[in-house]
Order: sequence, then structure tokens, then C-alpha cells
Amino acid sequence: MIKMSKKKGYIVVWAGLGILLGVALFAPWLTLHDPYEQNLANRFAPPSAEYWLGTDELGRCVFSRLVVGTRMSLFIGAAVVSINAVVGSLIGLLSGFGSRWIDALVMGLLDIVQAFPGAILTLAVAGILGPGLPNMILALTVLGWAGHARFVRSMVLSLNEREFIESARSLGYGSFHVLFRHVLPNCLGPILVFSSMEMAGAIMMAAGLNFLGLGVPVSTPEWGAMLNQGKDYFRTAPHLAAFPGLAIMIAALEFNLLGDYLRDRIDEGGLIDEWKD
Amino acid sequence: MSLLELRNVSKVFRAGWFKKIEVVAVREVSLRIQPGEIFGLMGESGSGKSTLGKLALGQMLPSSGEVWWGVEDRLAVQGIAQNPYGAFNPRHRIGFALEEPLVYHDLVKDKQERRRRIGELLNLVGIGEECLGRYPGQLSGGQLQRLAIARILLLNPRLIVADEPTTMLDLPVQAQIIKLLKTVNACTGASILFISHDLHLVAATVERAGIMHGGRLVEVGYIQDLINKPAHPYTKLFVASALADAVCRPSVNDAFGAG
Repeated sequence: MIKMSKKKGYIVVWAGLGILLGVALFAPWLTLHDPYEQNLANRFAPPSAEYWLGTDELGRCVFSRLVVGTRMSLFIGAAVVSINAVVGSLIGLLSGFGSRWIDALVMGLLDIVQAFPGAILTLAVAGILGPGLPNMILALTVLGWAGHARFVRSMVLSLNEREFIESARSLGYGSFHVLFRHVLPNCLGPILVFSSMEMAGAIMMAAGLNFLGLGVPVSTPEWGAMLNQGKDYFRTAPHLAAFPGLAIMIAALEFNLLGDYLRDRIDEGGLIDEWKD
Repeated sequence: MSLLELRNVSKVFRAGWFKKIEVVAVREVSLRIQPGEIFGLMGESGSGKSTLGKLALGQMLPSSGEVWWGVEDRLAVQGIAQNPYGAFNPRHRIGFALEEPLVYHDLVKDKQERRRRIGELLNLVGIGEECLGRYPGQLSGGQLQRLAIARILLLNPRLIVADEPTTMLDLPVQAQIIKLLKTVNACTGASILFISHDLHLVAATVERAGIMHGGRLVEVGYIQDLINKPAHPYTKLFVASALADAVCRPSVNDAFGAG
């Protein structure tokens, strides 16, 4: 069994994240060919020196499409997680810090929303809204905020019992000041950890919707869409589905590792409450 | 005129939507604390001391009865947390935590005035200015409790509710905090409601005290009278068990000079 020291593990996490973000940022300069350029004379070409990951059913360079697709996949993941984190955190803060009645109302709403099977409802919403990037992001956020809201609410309820919050109230600070100066900063670290793990799920879910044809247009280079197109030729040209699948797996793993890393750092650095007790 | 007056105060906690569960934490307690007095409140765990402390602080509303404060500004009633490690926001430096009440309540004109006021109080509680740049996790329990006392003194309190302020500290540090509370009382004239389950600690700190049992204030009097001539059966039991404990812990008496 390979054992890796914690420090080396962190280097792998940051290196992986750096590569992903670097590829997304500098995608136009990293491609070998025009990702949209068709070459019907060179369809289903296996990986070679000219086409590193081969060509697809229209003779387009798979490597170039994968590189350009990184930007789209990460954008979708980041957009979905950001919306979920902001909406969910605000609702969670309101529920945890507000009156008993607001909490009961929000919790009732959360129970209703989370009673639906997530993947099926997302598919249903995506199906009703139709394909397209904004519709896909909307479908992925219909339920996604609920997990954030419940998580933040539980954190706020726990923080409310902490003595420094009681002290802050006793020192005469208003609710708004206590919430945004004392409660929220202590929630940010765990929210970041939760979001990075959600990012992996969002990329996978977006890939799933694209795989089903409910996401971005077919011609757009995106990992899930590429996987969807590649599945039809899996027997004759397995590289068409294998490489996008591998990219999705690596990105999901990377964001899960990032979440683990941030959680470790927060526990060690005492940003939450492990600092003395 | 008293500084704090509780008139027939009760506090009932209720839970459950359909089947109501009621816990009476404080039952018909009447108490007066005079200006400049250090009053001790003793009792076993679950006797309602802390709930009474929260009622005195105004952090809770009584279910029945009345709490009356002899101050115009509610900021003049402040509390000292039981757990000094949790009293400060772990994400804020001590300097920020001490400046925050002054800035929020607009109590001083400028930065120099703020620094001067904080410096004065650090001097009073015996802490160096080097701690201002540190986070709470980098300081000891005794230092944090001193800083917590300094922070409430910034608001010029007339009544300080100290709910077991030494419970989480070791014996020598407990003695230092008790000494500091007496100094604060002497220098500022603030009254202190000192809550503790430790008879020796209370005896070393206060002149007058009350004993709580089952949410009731069963006996109030001068501490020496409570120890030497307890009237209520529970007070007799409480004092007897505390004295029996002291036989096993002679160092307690040595540390506080009480017994």
C-alpha cells in the first residue's frame, strides 16, 4: 500500500487544483487544433502524435475539446455551487439566527424540498425547462441550496450556544452586528469545505445532464456532453468516452481532496472551535 | 436604593408541541443587591443559579415576577463568562475584541483615546499590551478571564454577574481572579453577583450570600452566619458537605484564606 505524507498530499491537492484552473484559464493557448474544426476524412482516429487523444465522430481533436471543455465544466460547477452557497447560507443564517417561527417555517420548507429525490427532480426540472446552459444551472440549484441551508443552520444553532456569542449580545451589539461580525466569519471555513465537496457533485451532475442531452448544445465542448456523444461509439472508439470520463473523475476527486484538505486545515488552525477546549 | 431587585421571580422552561413538559428552574425568588456589594449565590448543580444569573443579566425574561435594575443604561449590567476559553471570538485578535465595544457604542473620540482606555484597563487587570496582537487560542485561561473582565469594564458596568468565573481555572489562578474581582469592586464601585457552587470560594469573596436549592432561594444572610449558624436544613447539609470536603482539600483554604 502506498503511503503519502500529509505534506505531500497537500502538494498533490494544490498542484491538481492549479493544473485544473490553469487549463481552464489558458485553454485557448493550450489546444493543439481548433476544437470546433471538423475533419471527416480523419474520423475516430486513435491517439497519435498529431491528435494526442484521437479524434471524434466528426474528426474533431478530442484533446482540444477536452481542454476547452475544462472551462465550461468548471464554470458550471462554480456557478452552481456559488448560487447554492449564497442562497443556502443566507436562508440557513436566517433560520438559525431568527425567531423560532422563522426557523420552523424554513425547516418545514427544507423538509418538503429535501423529501423529493434530488436527481429525479433535477432531471424533471431540466426536462421542463429544456436544454441550455442557464436552464441547466437553474435545474441544478433548485434543490442544491437546501443542503447548504441545513448545514449553515446547524452551525449557527451550535454557535448561538457559544459563550462568545452570548458575550457579544451581553456587550450590547445588535443582531445584525453579531450575525455578520461574529457568527458568519465562524461559518465561512466550513461553508468553503462543504462547497468544495459540492463542486465535485455539481460537475458530476452537470456531466450527467449533458450526457442525457439536457445541458449545453451538442456542439459545445463540455465533458459530460463529450461523454454522451462518445458512448455511442464505445465499442469501436473507446477513447471518445474514456478521456472525458477520466477528466470528470479527476476533477471530482480533486475537489473532494480539496474539501478534505480545507477541513484538516480548519481543524488544525482552530478556525472553528477546536482551538482550546 | 438597591442596584438589582428580583421580586417573586420564577422561570419555567416549556418544551413539546402537544404534550407540554415544564421545568421550573427558578421559583419565586426575591433578592436585593446593594450598590458596591459583592453578593454570593451558592447551590449545587441544577439548583437554578445560572438561570438566576441570566435573569439578573437580562439575557432571559422571567416567566413571572419582576426584575428591576437601578441603572438607566442596560449596558451597565455585564456578565463574566464561565468558560474563559470561549469568551472571545476565536477569529478576532484580542486588540480588536477590546476595541469593538468602544467603537460599536461610540464611547471614545479617537484612536489614541481608545488605546489609552484599553491600556488603563490592561494595567488594572495585570496584562501586558503584547497580548493585543494575539488570538484567544494563544493565551491561557487566566489571561483570557482577566481580559474578559477588562472588556466589560470598558463599558463602566455598575453590576457584574460573574457566573462561576473560576470553574475552569486551576487553584492559583482562581485566587488571582478572586483578588482581581475584589480590586474591580474596590476601584470601580461596581456590584458583583458572584455565582459559585464552592462555599470556600464564596466565603473568600463576599460578605453576604444566598443558597439556592431546587430553584428556590432557601436562605440569605452574612456568609459567616450561613457557615456558623445555618438555619435551613439544606444550608446545614450544604455547609457540612463543603466543610467535609475541605478536610480532604486543605490547599483550598490555604489558597483563599477562608474556612
